[in-house]
Order: sequence, then C-alpha cells, then structure tokens
Amino acid sequence: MTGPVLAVSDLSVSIRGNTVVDGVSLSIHAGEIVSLVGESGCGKSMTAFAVMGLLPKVARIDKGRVELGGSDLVSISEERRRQLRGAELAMIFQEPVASLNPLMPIGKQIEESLIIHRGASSREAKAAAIDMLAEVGIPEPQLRYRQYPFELSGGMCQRAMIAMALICRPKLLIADEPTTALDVTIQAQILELMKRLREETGTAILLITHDMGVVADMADRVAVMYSGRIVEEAPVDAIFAGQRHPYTRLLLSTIPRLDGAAKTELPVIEGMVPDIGSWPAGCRFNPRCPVAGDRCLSEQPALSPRPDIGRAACWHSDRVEALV
Amino acid sequence: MAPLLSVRGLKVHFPISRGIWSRDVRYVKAVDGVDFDIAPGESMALVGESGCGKSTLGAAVLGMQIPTAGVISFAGEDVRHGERQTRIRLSRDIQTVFQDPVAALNPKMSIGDSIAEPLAIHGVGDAKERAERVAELLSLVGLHPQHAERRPNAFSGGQRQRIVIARALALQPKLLILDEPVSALDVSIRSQILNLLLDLQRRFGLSYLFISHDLSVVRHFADRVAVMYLGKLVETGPTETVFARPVHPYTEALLSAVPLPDPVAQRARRRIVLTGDLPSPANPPAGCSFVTRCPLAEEICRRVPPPLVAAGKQERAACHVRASRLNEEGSFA
Repeated sequence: MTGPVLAVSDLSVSIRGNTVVDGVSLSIHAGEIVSLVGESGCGKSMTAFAVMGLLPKVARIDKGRVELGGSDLVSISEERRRQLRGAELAMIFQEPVASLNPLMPIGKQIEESLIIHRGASSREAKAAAIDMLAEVGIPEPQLRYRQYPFELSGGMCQRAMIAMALICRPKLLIADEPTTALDVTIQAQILELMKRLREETGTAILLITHDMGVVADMADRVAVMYSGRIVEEAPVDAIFAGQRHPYTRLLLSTIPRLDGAAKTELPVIEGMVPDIGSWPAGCRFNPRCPVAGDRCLSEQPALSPRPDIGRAACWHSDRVEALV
Repeated sequence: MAPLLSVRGLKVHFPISRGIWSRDVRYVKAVDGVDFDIAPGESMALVGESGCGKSTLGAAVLGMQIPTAGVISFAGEDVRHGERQTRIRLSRDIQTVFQDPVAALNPKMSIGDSIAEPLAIHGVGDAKERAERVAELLSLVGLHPQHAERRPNAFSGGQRQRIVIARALALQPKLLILDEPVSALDVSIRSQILNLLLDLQRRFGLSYLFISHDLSVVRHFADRVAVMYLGKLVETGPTETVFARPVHPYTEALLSAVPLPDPVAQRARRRIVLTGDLPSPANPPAGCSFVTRCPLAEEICRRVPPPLVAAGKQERAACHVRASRLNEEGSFA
C-alpha cells in the first residue's frame, strides 16, 4: 500500500487563545472513506477547515502538520494552497443552496476550477461540466448547465456542488454534513452517488457527520471527536461491534433505532458538551462519564491501541463494554 | 374512545397567480383533503419530506393557518366556528413546541416571565401563584426553579427546549403539537428530551401530534403514524405495523432510505433509491401524486387519484397497485 493521501499529525487550532482542536492525528488512504463523528463544538469542522486552509481569520494553527501527498499544507504559501484547493482537495458543505453563487449559472460554477487549475478552454470546460452534471445524475444536463441555483431543488444543488468539487478529480474530498439538510430519499441518492464516485475515481473522502446511520452506511473507518480531541478511532465494523471509549458507547446507545423497542426510556448522556474555553481538567468527558475515576480528573488519557484494532483514549476502557 | 382531535377533509390551499395581469389563479395545495383522529393520551406522528405539507397541517390544527375547507374538532367542538369563549378555551388546550428553541424564546425576557406569559394572558392566578407555577414547571422539565430570573442565553440548546416545553405545559393543555422538537438538538441531548416528552405524556395523559422527518425517532416515539406526500396522506396505521410491513411504495422507499446505525445490518439491506425529486405542489401529477417516482406505477395511477382505503386491521393506504387490489380480493371487506 502506498502512503496516505492525507496525513494530519498532532494538529492544534485555537480561536482567540481558546483551543478548539487539540492534537488531532488522522490519516486517509486513496479510495478510503473516513468518518469524523461528534457533536457541535467538538472541533470536527475546524479540523476540516484547517486541512482546507479555510480557517476563519480569528483562528490559527498552533502546531501540527497537514500533509497532502507529501507536502505540508500548514507551511506552504497561500498562493500554493490556492493552487491545491479545488484541484487536489475539495470540499462540499451542508447547505448546498447557500454554498453556491446565486448570480452565476450552475455550469459556470462547475467549470470554473477546470479553467483555473487545468487551463481548460471554455469549450472543453463546458463539455466537461455537462458530462459531470450527467455523471452526478442530474437530468437534462444541457438545460441545467444554463440554470441558476434557485431553479434547482436542494438535492440537485447538492449534486451540482459535488460535480463542482470533483471536476478536477481531487485526491481528497471533504464532505461536511453533506446530507444533513436533505430529505432521506434524497440523502439516499447522494450517498449512493458519493460511493459510486469514490469507486470510479479513487478519491479519498473525509466525511463529517453526526448521523450514525450515515456513518454505518458509508465509512470504512471512524474517528470520534469530543472537545477537540479524537477519543476513539477504528474500522467501522470494529467500532460498531465494540466500543472502548464510554462516549462512543453512550452515543451509539442513545440513538433511537428503526428496529429498536418503542416508547422505552432511552439511555442518556448526563449533562452537556462543555463550552470551548472551559474544558475540564484531565479527561474532558469526565463530568459526564459513568466510569470516571480519580485519575480521569487530573490526567488526560492518550490515544492508545484498542485490544483488537484501532485506538481509544480512556483510562478505564476495559469497563466500557459493561455500560448501558 | 371518542377522539380528542378529529380532522375531516382538511384542505389548505395557497393562491398563486401567474403574471401580473393574469386572472388565471392557481393554487398550491399544501394540504389537500386530510382525515385523521387522535385519541386522548395517544401520540400520532406525521411524517414526510420537506414540502409535503406536514407543518402547514400542524399550523391549521393550532389555528395559525386558516383552512380552505374541512372541519377540525377538538373534544367534539368545532375549533374554527365556535363561540369566541370556546375558541379561547380551546387555545389553552392545544399548545405547541417548535424545532428551534433559540427562536422560540424572547432573548430579552427572563425565562420565568416567558413561562408565565400564557398564564398572564389567560388571567390565571395572581403574580405570586404564577411564580409558584413557574417554579413547579421548571422542576417538572428538569431545570432549577432558582434559574427563573435568567435570560435564555444562559442556557444550552437542550435546556432551552426544556424551557419551551415548560411554557407549553403552563396552561395544562390536552394536546401538544410537536413540530420537529429534537431536530435542532445534538444527538446526546435528543434522547434526554424524548425521554422527558414520553414521561410527561405518561404523567398527564397528553396527546401528541408529532411532526417529524426522522423515522427512527418516530418509530421510538409514536403510537400511530401518518405518512404524507404532496398534501395527502398515503398511509396510516399503528407505527409497529406500518414500519414492519409498509403497504404504500412511498412508505417502503422512505423506510429503506434510512440508514441503520449498524454497518453489518446496513450492508444486508436492500435500499430502494427513488429517482427524481418531489414534484412541485403547484403542479402535482394528475392521478396518484407519487406516480412520477413510483417503481410500481401502472396505467391507472396516471389518471385516477387512489383513495385512502383499508389495507389491514387498522392500516389504511392510498395505492391502486397494493391497497385497492387487496380490497378487490376481499381481504379486508
């Protein structure tokens, strides 16, 4: 196997002095889908923005490396980063309608990166954009090419955004909650499309989501984030079969299931996600953790190997299976 | 048992005209002929995709949307055409909880004042009694009564939804309309709010009209389910049976599209991927509204809208191919 497409190592990001991403390491190989899972404020989107070089102005990278195909994205110039963005790495967002330019026809938005990064002529670019529209399953691509975002449905806008992201065949696609704003039948179409394109192009996908169903359906590997850190990471089957961090365990048990019992009391995670800037000492999950002991209050557990495969950051990972 | 809420032939049509001079007024049929009942203490879920009319239907039951046609009766009384006094009384009996607890609370009012507002409007008790009731409601939803003086921004999303629920319960309603009450909340908070709602239902015998697009939550929460597509109910029945044996092809596709949080089970499932989007409600298909996306569609489906007919002991479905045929065979006659 060749090296990973993306290798993030010991990445830390802060906003106005408050750490939001704290020593995250993560790698993705060609053709692999890695899911980054967590609740709002856990740092999953900030990790993605750091990889893309799209952090908000108030945020800064304190340490760490983000290597894409061998070159470190943190230390390169903004000019070089701009060359890579759209060509080698691309991103799609939750709100397709808000992420498209409302004043520019869909086709023009799709072909833009092909003209900028690959130096395609406008005729070549137009042909490629129409092919790409057809490839993402938009009917009447010739017509849609000329239309504006308001003339397309939400599902179609999301397809158009995927077409835009993939037209240069990037090595890495970051999908931040790509189906959260969509209805389930449309979500199913988009997920199938992403899987098919991954097969065809070998693009590595970093899929950010909070929906465990989407994770189970899509991911090869899963990384769970809590308060800025990865707390558990393993191949999808292993992490669903057995959890070694209490947060992962509880998170999976609190979701109502289509095939679950009706009207029973659901397990809960007591308390709430701590605010950024007021993370507790020791393990950050300790105030909500049913197995927390003295050590958890003072010492932060490192991400260490699980007995089977993968990694977990818990001092009492042997007690997790007995929970719930 | 006599139903608490009974809806018959409900239609909500919004006029749209084409062009400034055009007299050709057309309608978006957001709700187009819907019948259902909710019994006391029962929760019925209304599911469907965005634009199917489920929130408009909820708004009509609340009296926030004037129906074009149809009758909504509550405990045997007509909600719309009754005496003024009756309508004021009914407005106490039907309360609502919306999706976004941040937008639902006035940021400049203390949460105690927000919760007491319905009491003040309906002239319940004096200031001291209302303060006592606020304290009681706060502890009922799992918050500190001492926090009544705080403003909404001192609370997290989940806590704000608890405050909204406390306010909805202030007047001791019989029916709560819950429009996507947990959709804006984090996963670990959702189960807390669902448990709270189920607990309140058991304690006070509340009826719920639960509007949601999240089928896993519906499966967990609701006794009965009604599936809506383009303004019409396409299938209704007990949640267990509808989810185990869906009759309408739309229900079937909807259920198969929800990914299970279990990779092994998910790989073994067959997903019915529907092609295309929801047609515009301004221009629905002539026959069955689902015909443009239906894998089973036949010639009759393009011409004749299917009626909602019995498709089991307590299930009803609107499908020529499946339900009507079952009836022709006399299975449920």
